[in-house]
Amino acid sequence: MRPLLTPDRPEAAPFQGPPLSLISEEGGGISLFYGHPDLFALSSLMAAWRLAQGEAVLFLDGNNRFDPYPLVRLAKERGHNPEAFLSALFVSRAFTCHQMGSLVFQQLQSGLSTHQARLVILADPLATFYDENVPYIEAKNLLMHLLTALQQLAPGRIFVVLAPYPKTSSGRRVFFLSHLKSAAKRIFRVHREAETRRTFSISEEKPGTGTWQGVFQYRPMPASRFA
Amino acid sequence: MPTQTITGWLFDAYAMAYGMRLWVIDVSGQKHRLFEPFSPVFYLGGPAKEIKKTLSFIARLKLPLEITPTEGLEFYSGKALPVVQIQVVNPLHYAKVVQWVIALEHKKKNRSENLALYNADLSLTQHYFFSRAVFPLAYCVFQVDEDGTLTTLTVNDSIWATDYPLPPLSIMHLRLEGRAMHPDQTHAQQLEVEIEGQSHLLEGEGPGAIIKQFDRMLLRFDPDLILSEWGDPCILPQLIDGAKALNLPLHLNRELKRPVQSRKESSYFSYGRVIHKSAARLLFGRWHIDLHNSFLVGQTDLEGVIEFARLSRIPVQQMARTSTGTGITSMQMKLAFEDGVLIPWRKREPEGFKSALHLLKTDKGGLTYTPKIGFHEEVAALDFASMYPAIMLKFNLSPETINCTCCRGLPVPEIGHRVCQKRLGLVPRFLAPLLEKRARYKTLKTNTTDPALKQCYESRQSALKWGLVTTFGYQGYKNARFGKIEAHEAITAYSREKLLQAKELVEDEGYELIHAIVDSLFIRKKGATERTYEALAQKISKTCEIPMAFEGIFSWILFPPSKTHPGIATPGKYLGVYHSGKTKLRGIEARRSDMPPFIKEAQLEMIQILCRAKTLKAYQNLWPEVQACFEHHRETLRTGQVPFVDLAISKTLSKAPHEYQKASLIAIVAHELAARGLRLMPGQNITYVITDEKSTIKSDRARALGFIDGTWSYDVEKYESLLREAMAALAWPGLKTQVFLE
Repeated sequence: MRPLLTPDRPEAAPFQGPPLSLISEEGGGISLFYGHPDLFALSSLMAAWRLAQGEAVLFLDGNNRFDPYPLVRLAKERGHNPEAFLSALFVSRAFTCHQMGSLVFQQLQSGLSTHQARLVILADPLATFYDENVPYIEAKNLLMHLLTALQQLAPGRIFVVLAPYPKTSSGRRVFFLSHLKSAAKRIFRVHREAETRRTFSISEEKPGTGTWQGVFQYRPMPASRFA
Repeated sequence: MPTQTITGWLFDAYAMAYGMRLWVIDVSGQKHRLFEPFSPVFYLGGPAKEIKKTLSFIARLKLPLEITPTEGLEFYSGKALPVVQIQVVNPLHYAKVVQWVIALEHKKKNRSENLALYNADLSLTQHYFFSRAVFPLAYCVFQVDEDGTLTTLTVNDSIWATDYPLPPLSIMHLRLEGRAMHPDQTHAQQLEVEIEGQSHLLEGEGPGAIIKQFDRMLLRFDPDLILSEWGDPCILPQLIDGAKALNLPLHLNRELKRPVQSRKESSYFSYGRVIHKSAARLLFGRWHIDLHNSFLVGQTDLEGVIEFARLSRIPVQQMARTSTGTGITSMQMKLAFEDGVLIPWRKREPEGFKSALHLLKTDKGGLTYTPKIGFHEEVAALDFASMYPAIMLKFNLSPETINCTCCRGLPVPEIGHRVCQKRLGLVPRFLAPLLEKRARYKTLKTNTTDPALKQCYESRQSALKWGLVTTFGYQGYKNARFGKIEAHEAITAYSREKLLQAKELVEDEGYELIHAIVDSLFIRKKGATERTYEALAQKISKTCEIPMAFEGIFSWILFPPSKTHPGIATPGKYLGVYHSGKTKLRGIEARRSDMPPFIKEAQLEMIQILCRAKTLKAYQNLWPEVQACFEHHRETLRTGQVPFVDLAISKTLSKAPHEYQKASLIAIVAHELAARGLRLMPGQNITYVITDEKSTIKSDRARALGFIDGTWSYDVEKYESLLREAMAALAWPGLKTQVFLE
């Protein structure tokens, strides 16, 4: 088993505030962030938050969403070693829904044990289920099994699922997002203010512990990606 | 029982109740309708109790099945695996039985006790072709009994043959008068049928007249192939729907009791682009190919499609509409089938967890050295021949050989993956004969003096080239059955290593590197001749262990500055003239599909002028002629007399019309077409003319080509600026003229 890392800069200012405060509750479970297509920017901050604490993070990538550059910039800004961050974040990419299924059913448990990760980020897992080459019923059944498996693995850990709005051309598969919502313990809708294009608003739809409700402004970093 | 012997080509094959329908064209052109009993199989693997449960579940279907315990080879480990073979006696029940197995699997709560399906998603024709070792258009001897049932089949042909005869096909051309545009994007036109050198415009009173005329022609000429333009999305659906509504006969199929097969249109992403696949209309016993719905026909003519269909064992009609990737996957599946390898149902092997640091190291493409900007004389081009396939072949790169569990393997440069040393991979084994066949076609093409044969060999080698190119891309493609992202990474790692080796070698030999991109080098050295470059290419081939070819010496080559960063050149964008006088253009306006023909032709005229130069000085001396050419075209534009069709810009929709938020020109035209009742999908092309790019009325900025009329005029200023850019792309750095300053 891989030992937990120790923070390389314990004196560095911790990552805190929203959206981290939204997912840091005790007990864990699935937190769904859905909405604006740029919401994947949140994943860097979430990963950095645990990586700075010397923990490993698992990143299950459903649509080539992993971008290491914002993470490196975040590490540098807070005085952390970017290489240490990148060494402790473990990525697995799935290109079909069956691969995504195998990843969750067969690899996730061992990944969690090996890397002792508490935070798991699933980026755009539904993208693989929108593929019209896979019959609707087959995709739906597989998704339901996958969500059950995630629910079983999530307690005591933080499972963050990031899902953009489905394209309207996805037909009845647009309802896959509803299935995802049903499986989530907490649901947050992410949208971008039109007049201030660099800020996201996140509002909670399905409160969990009730510790936070409402809307706040999140100014993502780095600015260049959002200008 | 008396038998008949037919010698000819296997023209078409499809499943019927309890067997396959075979259509054969004999040497005299006569058609024969045969039947062969055939029962496809699939396999089940996994825990015995799961298999037992599944078998009792599908027994509820009460369909004739034959169950046999057997074993097959697992693809990744190469180890024997006990499985149960399920033979579905009637092929028409096959899909239903497989669906029931899948349905049961989905109902299961415990996903760790997985049942594995093998060979379950091969098409019925693939099953037939694989198990009978026959292929589309194979030249065979068929022994047939008196009721048309095949008793023996002897194949006197090989997929590796290069001089194979083809049947005498009768071809009917079907199009709308005026041809070029998608019929939905313009006004209604008359149906034109061409057969036996005669063209007929179908017209008549009453709604059924055209359908009746067309059907009479089908019966009279009985074509083997209907080669249409827009037959898939428009002509055939209209004829079929019309015949159905009026209850008229329409003999599109030779198999009379079957309806024409329809496949839905779809859009998908490929290499960062949205591709639209039109709906398809497939016939039974006869082929229908839509020239506008076939990548392969567009690239390689019918010869290329037939070559690919034979190799892939995909019927010609389907092959014309499918991707080369599906074709090569089928070839690989056939190889696996011959080896007794179980072909896994759906791609499900995920990528193992790797650290982001490792991912950064591995997830890279080919290597590029930015071109030295500007004009260069006497530059040689050297290319690694079929670099990626050659690497896969040489270094045994295949999904099952990357990070295998059977040996420690050889390390892949830079990225830490390992390659198996014990087993020869499926992909290299599939590639070897394909590369060899392409080389044979190239030699045949060089050696023949017959122009028709030359073209035929060119089409066939081009088809194989597309297959080879796709083999690399498919390693990283989501639906590639025998693809694995780690194999993709290993291929690009080797390619970077090899280009680096080659660069170091040429620099050690005193050559100056002008540009290098993935598999090509642009170098020069004072006094170097063709012979020196040939020798250098051989030396690189030996050092790098993959073949490098000397392409030629450019008298001059120009790497123009980037539009966005004028201080640097854009990799892969250049124009040059070989010593032979042949030009090579990459990335400039004349090569771009979204440029209006008027601009492309103007730029080509300018290039023709510049081709006369051998040196920079001569090039500069010719520049006034280029300016005169520009002026001439500008004046033509200003007269307002350039036909709209020459100014048309063709672009691909990246999303549905209603999903566009900004009023870009493509969005404006998409909205115009949508308002005319067209249902447009992402990936479809639309063609438009810029009418007034700066108009405050958005809908006036551009109009769809198909509906624009004489009340509109084009935006002279905009087209002038495109013309100016086309000329600027040919200028050497530092050139400033009045034209550029305007």
